[in-house]
Amino acid sequence: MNFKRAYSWLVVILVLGGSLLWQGLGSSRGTLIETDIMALLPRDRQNPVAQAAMDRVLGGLERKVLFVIEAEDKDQAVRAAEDLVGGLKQMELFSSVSGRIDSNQQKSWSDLYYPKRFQLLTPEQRERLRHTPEAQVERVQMQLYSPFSGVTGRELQNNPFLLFREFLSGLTSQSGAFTLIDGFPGKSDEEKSYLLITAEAADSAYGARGANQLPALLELEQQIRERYAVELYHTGVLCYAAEGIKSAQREISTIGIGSLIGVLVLLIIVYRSLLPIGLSLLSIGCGLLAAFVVTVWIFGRVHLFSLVFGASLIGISIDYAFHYLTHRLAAGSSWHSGTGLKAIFSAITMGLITSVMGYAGLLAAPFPGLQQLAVFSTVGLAGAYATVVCWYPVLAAKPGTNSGLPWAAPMNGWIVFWSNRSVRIALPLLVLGLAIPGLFRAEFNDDIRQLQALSPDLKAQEKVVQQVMGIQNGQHMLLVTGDDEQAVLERLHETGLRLNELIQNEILGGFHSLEPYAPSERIQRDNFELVQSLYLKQGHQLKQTLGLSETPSMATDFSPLTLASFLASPAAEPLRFLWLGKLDDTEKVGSVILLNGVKNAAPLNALAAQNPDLHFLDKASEISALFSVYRVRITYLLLLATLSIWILLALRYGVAKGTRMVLPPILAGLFSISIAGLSGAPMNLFNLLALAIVLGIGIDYTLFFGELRERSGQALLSTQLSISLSAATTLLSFGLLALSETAAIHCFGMTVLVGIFISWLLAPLAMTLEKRS
Amino acid sequence: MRGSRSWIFMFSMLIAFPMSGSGKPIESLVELQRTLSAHTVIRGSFKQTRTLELFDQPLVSEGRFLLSEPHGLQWLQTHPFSVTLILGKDQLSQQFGEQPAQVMQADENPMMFYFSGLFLSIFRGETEGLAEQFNVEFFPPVKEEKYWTLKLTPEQGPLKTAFKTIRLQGREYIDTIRLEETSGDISVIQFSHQSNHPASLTEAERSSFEF
Repeated sequence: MNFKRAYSWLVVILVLGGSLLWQGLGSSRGTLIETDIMALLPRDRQNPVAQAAMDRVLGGLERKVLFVIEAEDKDQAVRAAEDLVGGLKQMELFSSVSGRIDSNQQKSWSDLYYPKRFQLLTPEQRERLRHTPEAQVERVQMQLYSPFSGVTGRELQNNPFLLFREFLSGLTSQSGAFTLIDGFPGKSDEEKSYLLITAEAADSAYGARGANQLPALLELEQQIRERYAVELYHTGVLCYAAEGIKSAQREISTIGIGSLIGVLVLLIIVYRSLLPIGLSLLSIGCGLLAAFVVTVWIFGRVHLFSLVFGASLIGISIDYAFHYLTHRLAAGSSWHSGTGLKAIFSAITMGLITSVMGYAGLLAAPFPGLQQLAVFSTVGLAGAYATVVCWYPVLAAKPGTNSGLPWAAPMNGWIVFWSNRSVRIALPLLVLGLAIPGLFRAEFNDDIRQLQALSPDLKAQEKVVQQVMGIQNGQHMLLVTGDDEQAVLERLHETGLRLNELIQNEILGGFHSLEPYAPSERIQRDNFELVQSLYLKQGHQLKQTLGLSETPSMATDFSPLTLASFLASPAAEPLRFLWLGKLDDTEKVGSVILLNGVKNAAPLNALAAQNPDLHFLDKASEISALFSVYRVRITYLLLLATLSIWILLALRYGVAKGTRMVLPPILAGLFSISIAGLSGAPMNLFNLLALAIVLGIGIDYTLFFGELRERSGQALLSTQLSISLSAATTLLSFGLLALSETAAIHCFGMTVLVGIFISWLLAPLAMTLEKRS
Repeated sequence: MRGSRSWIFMFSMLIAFPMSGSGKPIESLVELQRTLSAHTVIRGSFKQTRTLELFDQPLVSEGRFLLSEPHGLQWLQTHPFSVTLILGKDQLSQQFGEQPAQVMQADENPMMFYFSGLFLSIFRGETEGLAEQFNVEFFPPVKEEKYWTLKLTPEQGPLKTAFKTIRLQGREYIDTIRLEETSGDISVIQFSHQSNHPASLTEAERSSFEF
């Protein structure tokens, strides 16, 4: 008995326990657990500028939740909207709610632009003034006489060429075809009225608060639907994120409770005694404690995703305990805890090493989530291992009261079956043969959009909202950078011209740029000169044609509308997020153009490729491309890991035995790829990551057979039993992962499920047959 | 509430004036609404006089018009220059002389359409819709005059800054629209020779609304 070792581990566990308390006290529970799905994704290291820009813009957009009220009766819609705005304002979830636009806000547009009206022109107006300025006189004449135009005497006096109304109208048409319905932005047709309400979340869209307050929001919506007999739709990243977090939380408890119950049932059936149950729970607990504390140390927070996988760690970390306890059970009254540990020590140590090698594959991917997962799992396993090695000999010093292995007959039968030389050749060949057809059908698809299991109800609501708003979603945007503000505005202008061509060619649906609202100084000066020349050359003509009492004149001094004054105006509120200002870690300033309805990304990529100050941002495609790169990389890593394990085993056990030990997990991996191929589901990065786990755990099983020194029937039986028990718990926990609604976790679970089963099936291949006598 | 009351009102009107024909003076807003919407097609002549401070002389224009439910309004100005304006449900076509027509879509130009839509509502006497933006007052004919007056006072927004009042006068049809701007400028449109025969559009008229 080694008390020193036991006390050392006790000190470690106490320190870890203390750390957990400290971490828990230091921050509220909510902040220790990361729920932001984006935190799992890799940072774009090729282009930090673009990444920073994207994060800022998306961060703002993702906080927005859009509501649409649909009603046949306009007044009813307005009353429902008023009530909804009131309700939303009361919720802590939202920091601001924009409903009715007051007349001050409407007026702020003309306040901003009116003093600068001689230097603001639409692109069409610029063309007209440049080439056919005389046409403007005709237009004024026509509008003045037209009863539909609403030109008043005062307007004509302030703006004799009526250029300003056209400019303002051009801006409104750019910002979407909304009219104000009793002050609410919206739309109406013959049958129905639609009102739009926007709310902004106080925290990140992925925060836990969104998920917690979602029920209250849904209840508010239901009340309004019933009270006013209207339809109400909502959309926003927050809604999707809240759903994702809810389902992850549900899965953690399902998988955690499921595997815990499974473990307990197995323990009760096999050991029929309280001590082993207590010991098992102790090693699981110590493992989880170490995993959680160390992960928080390294990463600051534990991601919900890690916890989902961590829950399945319960099923793996129990393995070491199984080996120890089964050995004790088999030894019966002849049990000596020190020698008992010795008997399994090298096997479980090798097991830990190979598992860690398997998880190291996860560390290779630059996905923070996966790295965390690797650390979480490795530390968890090490914790469980240390508990077995340090404490079990002390705590389980006495022989157990029950002895004798259960299910001895089937276990024995299985071993006898595997002792048959032809079975040892035929069964692996059969598995390989079954795997081959599926292997050729295996396909890869790295598109991240395939992995998002979006709720159909939310999808349908999003569609309605988008139809009303006249936009298509998609996180496509162009980042435009430059050395200073004016350079960026100029570039925005040029880019706008190019984008208009793409709209003409139906490659693009539309775009939102800041430039028409605050043109560069050069363009304003240009416009000013065009307008000046119009007054000079056509002023007299206008007087003649209309019969004005005086020749029209305009202000002669030019002072540009500055970007700063535009951004400061309340009118700019909905557009302000497009301007990024100085970009972190660079000398550049930047602005983004939001793109709608991108039908083909290639021309946009080509456009961006022509200019180093233009970046086309397409988050989903970028991540998909990264997935593809790392899928290939992990494939090589996996092959490398298999080879290293093979060499390691060959050095220790000889080539022939080493090969027999490494073959079951390899065949298991091939078989799970084949199953994926036959099921028709394309594989992705997550399937490969699962293969790393299959390799790590599968090697464990063969190791215990390989490590057996004494080839007594009893030792074989106890090994087979502990392997079967651990396979059962692993299947239980990963089988539950396969039920996950999150496609990534589901793929992972399915691969592990199939792989572990085959690994268990073929594991006895590693046992050394007794010499024929 | 509003709907049911006007229905009751209308019902009582039907009992009181079962023979309410074109000769009878219009006594209420409801009756006005009913009279103005009775004809789906109205043709006639117009004369617009705009008296603006900027001009020594009033701006006078003349021509013909065609109002059709549900197509819209045609405004065929012949004097002092020739212009064809066709205001459809959600588009406006303007043709200056023989030049090609310029067409504007409502959803691309919501601001431009705001006033034209409003004008169409005024022209049709759609008091329900106008009540959203104006304070609507109805003055029945006084003594032998036989003219009713509808006075619209803008309640809010850009309309209120531009217009003091808009007055409509008429008998069976609207005869005058008078727009008084806050600046003191006044525009008057007078209608004459209004007729609802033939009651349906000719093929040429119908096709002119399709653009």
